Amino acid sequence: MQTVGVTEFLSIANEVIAPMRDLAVEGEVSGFSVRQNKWVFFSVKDDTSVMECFSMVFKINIPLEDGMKVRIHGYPTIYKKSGRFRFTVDRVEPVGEGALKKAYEALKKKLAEEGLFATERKRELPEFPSRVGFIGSDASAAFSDFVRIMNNRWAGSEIQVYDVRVQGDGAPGDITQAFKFFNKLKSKHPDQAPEVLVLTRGGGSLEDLWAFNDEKVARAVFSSSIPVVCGVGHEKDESLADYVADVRASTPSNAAEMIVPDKRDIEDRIDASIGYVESELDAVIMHHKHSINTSLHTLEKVIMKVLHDIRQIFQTFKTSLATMERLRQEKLITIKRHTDRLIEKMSDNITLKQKALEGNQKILTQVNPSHILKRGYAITRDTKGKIIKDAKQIPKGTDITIQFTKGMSKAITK
Amino acid sequence: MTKKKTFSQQYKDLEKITQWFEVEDVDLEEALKKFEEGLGLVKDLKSHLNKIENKVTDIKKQFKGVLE
Repeated sequence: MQTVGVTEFLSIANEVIAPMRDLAVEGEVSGFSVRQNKWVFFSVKDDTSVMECFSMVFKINIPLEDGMKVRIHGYPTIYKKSGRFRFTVDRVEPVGEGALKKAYEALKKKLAEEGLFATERKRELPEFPSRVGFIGSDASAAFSDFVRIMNNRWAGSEIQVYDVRVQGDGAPGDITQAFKFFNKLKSKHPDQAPEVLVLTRGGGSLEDLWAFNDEKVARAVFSSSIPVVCGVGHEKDESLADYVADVRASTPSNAAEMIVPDKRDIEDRIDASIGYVESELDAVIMHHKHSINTSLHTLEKVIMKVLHDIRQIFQTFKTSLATMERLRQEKLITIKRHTDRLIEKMSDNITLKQKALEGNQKILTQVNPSHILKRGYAITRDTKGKIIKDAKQIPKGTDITIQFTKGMSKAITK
Repeated sequence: MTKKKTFSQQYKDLEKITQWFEVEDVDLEEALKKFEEGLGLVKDLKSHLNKIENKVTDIKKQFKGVLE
């Protein structure tokens, strides 16, 4: 026989019992306590036996209390320091309708107190989502119902399916993974991410729907940056995910109704909009027509007035012109009269002057020296041509010139 | 090339045009332009609604390896 130390023995014993981790243990909770907000201690028991359990606060996803029937998953160990046998709990599930309901109510209370259901944080859904993220089973009736209603009501959107298990142990993990995926998609490729998420499954027993009451799922819905519509089970069913979601739908079909409007309604709204625009445009055109007519009328009136004024001015001008013509004629007559008189007077004057001239001519003729010469007189001049009127002017022997009526003679006085 | 507007954006544009007409004293030239724009939007919106159905895609498969 081999002999080993205590520590080694316990190590071997722990190795031996390690494969027992595949077993889940069902029992009733007793002596539940939390120390330093971190360590969880309780026992599970049945009618005859009891087993000590240990866990960490973050691993316990449902509020435990004494008397609650649970199924625990984890592994057994012998704690070396005290030699006590303990079951280290990784996960706890409530068991039986009563326990489930109790756990549900307790978690609901806790989450409500934390504000996960607060109505003020509920977001509005996009009116016409281009992309919808579907978190559920793609082989379920819920999925085909959802798609059918979506297609009845709407067209042209993309339904991005993220297939998850909707019941059983793996469901909460799948669902939280899906939320993580879509939120990551939104941060990395916002133009390809859905604008709304739908978390859904069809009806089932309370145990079937349990994944939707999981705290991790509730928190995943709560922290999603994409608005969430939750439609789980039948109309009467409720889940914690429903309460946390931005919009609660009663069924998967109802979720589709919440997500997209009925295209017939939208078509009516579009027709009404463009109809309104058309009638408003007609009104604008009518208004302009009226304005143009009024302006034309005003313009016509102005033109008529201008024309009238021009006619009047023209008339006045014509009258003035006639007056001027008349005055001109009168002036012409006056001028002619004056001219006639002038001519008459001038001709009288000329006649008079002619007569006077004739008289003067006669006198001149008479006094003309040549006439006198003709009568036998002569003119005597000295050498300078000066007429000699007095014999004393010339001494004897003076050269003189004598002019006769015909010819001249030179002589010397004696 | 500009990306084609989504149904939602086009619907909003149509609503904006309707609201614009609700304001008094609209300019005729602008009104005609808006009306024409509205007609174009209605055509696009209706053609969207006349599509047979929605498209179903397997998003996990589509982004396999991309988001890991």
